[in-house]
Amino acid sequence: MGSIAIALEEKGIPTVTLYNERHEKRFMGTILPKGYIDYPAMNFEEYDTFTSEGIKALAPEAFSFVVKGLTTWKPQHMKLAGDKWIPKESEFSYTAASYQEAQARFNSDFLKMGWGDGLPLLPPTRSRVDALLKGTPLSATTVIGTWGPANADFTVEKIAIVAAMAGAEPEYMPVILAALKAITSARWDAYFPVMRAPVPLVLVNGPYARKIGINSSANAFGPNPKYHANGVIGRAINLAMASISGNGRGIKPSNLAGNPAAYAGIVIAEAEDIASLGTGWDPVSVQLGYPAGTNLVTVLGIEEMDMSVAGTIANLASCISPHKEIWPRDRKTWDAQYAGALVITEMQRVTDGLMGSKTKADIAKELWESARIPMDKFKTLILTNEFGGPAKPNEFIKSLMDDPVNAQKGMPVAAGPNRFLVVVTGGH
Amino acid sequence: MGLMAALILLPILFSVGKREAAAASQYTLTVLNPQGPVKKGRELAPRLTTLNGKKVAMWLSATRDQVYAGKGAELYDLLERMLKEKFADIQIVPYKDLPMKFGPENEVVAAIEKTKPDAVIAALGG
Repeated sequence: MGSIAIALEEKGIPTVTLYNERHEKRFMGTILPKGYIDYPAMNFEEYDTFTSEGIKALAPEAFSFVVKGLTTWKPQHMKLAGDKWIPKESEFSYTAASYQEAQARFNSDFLKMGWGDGLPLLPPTRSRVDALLKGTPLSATTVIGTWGPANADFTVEKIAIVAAMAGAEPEYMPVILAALKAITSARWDAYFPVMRAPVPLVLVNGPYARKIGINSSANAFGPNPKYHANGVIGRAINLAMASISGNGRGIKPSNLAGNPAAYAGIVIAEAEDIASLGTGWDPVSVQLGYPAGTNLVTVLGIEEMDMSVAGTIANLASCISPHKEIWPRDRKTWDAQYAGALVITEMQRVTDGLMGSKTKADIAKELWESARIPMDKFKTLILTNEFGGPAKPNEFIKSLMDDPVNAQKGMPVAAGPNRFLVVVTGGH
Repeated sequence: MGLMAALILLPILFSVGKREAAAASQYTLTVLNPQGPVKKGRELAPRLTTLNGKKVAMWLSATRDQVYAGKGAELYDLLERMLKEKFADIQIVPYKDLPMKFGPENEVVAAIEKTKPDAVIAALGG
């Protein structure tokens, strides 16, 4: 509907749209990336539209919205300042009988704007944000990337505001900024939040991780009172993706079951200084071509996680399920795209019989060889469109299907073994 | 005199004290807006000054039997009645006269455009 409404707008015909909740993400994801700051669209709770009683109750509000949308409507949350749309309000004030009540009002208001995740937010006051800005040498106005449905500027100050909401410390800022620079360098995809729920896996290499308390030891993916930066940094990154970019719309829940890591993220450090890690176990930073000891933040979009305590590589490989929506459409993307990360604990590494004398490269190769999709299943996946009808493969995908090795062994999920990151963390 | 002055002053001081206590009981929390600025892009079509005397097309993007359409057709029936009550000279292009689908896009746009509407309402689904 969004592209048709916009086609009519571009012909000079004003439009207004009423839609079910489930279509909002795709609808606004169609309109905002075209360069429009806002659009008069009214979003109904889906189940209210399934009954005649529900429709009757909605009609007066829909009528008012239609009249306003076609006559007096203006962008809701933004105002023009030169060649930029900026928020109508640079700050919000909450006056109440007590600090607790004012904070509750702030939390409630930010949730309504889609800027919260439901967990309590800490107030991003001027003094708190200024303190966080001291954690980076970059100026507050530096833009580290433009991203999201509205292609919003991710300025250092806006990121500091969100980091304050998440409860970050100033020294976390370099990691948050680096992760968001990586995330905003990737194309925003309107389809992602509709049918999928990817979350960034943020891997931190180098001595800075230990200095600020990013866990690479016991319970690296969960809470550890000794190293508690992981969850706060992950939450700041998730909140930034939703609130800075959302143009007043904020978090849009996935249409499916969602991902628990959308709360506190997935942030880990690699355990780089364990004596038992020998030859062939260089950290990811070295694998990616940087000198040992480099402070590096690497981000992968993760949709599925298998948290096997023990098992074979083949078992893990069977959990890798490719999605046609993100299947590379050309060789350049195919060659560059990472299929995922295999996280190994030091405990598994040193246990005889489980990893033995294998290196990271050996494990990646075994995973790549095991994670093949039988060709008949791949064809069913890729040759069907979203409505269940037939779809044609492009020349690149056809060349993969015609490859005799792939036809015999099955379609690999990545261009080669080096398209998996193998990371050591936790468990010691 | 001294006693009288004290008697007069006391209520004044008491009153000031009460006002200060009331002011102190209010707490104001000021927080910054996290929304990022956005480069100016395209603008929507100019809005109409009124719907009176205008032709408004109602495009239903799905047929009644498609689940994501909900009861969109019933909503349009109600909206048509309300619009005609409020704007005596409005002309409505009913959804039944337009394609009840959202693709192919160019066909749907052409069909809507063919009715020469001044404005379009799109609803429910697709």
